[in-house]
Amino acid sequence: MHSIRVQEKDFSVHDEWNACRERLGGKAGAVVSFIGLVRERSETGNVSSLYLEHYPGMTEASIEQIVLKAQKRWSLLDVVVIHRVGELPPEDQIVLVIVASAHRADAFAACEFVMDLLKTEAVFWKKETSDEESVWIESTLDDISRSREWQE
Amino acid sequence: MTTRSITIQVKLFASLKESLGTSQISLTVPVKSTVEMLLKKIHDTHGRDNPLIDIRQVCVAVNQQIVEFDHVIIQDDEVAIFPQITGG
Repeated sequence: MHSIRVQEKDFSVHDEWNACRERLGGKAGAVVSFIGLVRERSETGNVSSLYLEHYPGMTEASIEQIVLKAQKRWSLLDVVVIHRVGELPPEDQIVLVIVASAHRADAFAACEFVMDLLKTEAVFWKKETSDEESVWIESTLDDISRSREWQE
Repeated sequence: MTTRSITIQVKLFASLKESLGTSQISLTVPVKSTVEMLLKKIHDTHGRDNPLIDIRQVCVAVNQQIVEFDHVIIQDDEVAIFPQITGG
């Protein structure tokens, strides 16, 4: 079971969590969630906004591939990924990942895996606007290295 | 004898879209053109002086699947060109 959404509007962690619990019934023993936020500072200075662009259809498919890899690797009951696009100011929520499983080890590992792969394999482009300039940014070396570690 | 040609709508994303000032361009290429031929045509017609349009730096998707440069384009293919994806 999984659910993937790419949207401009914000999401409610509370609502998504309740919907997930309802779907799970009594089967899950562990639910791990991750919420990503827009930071107010980056290497280029104070961030006034982060713009995320996507390719409708291809982006959702790329996220589904990541979720399917996680479901193959761990025993998971539900995976929810909600990713926002458009212009986002600092402090805004960008991404929500919820992973449910019977036992906590699977949920912890799979949530980290999904998030690490989202940072390198999901079809998005990001532009950061700071005090000085607007620049299209690349995956960081840390993101690439974390994603590669799962492949070893 | 005339060479048959096809017209392809090419979607552009991120810095490429910004650089060309449009999210889609229309290109007429000979039948059996490869992705590489399409990229060269874009370079010649839109990007000769544009450092962003470097055919060695872009990715191409046909029908939403990343393809190699020797992939042959056919009529009604959904073609998209974009810089390296940067993840979420």
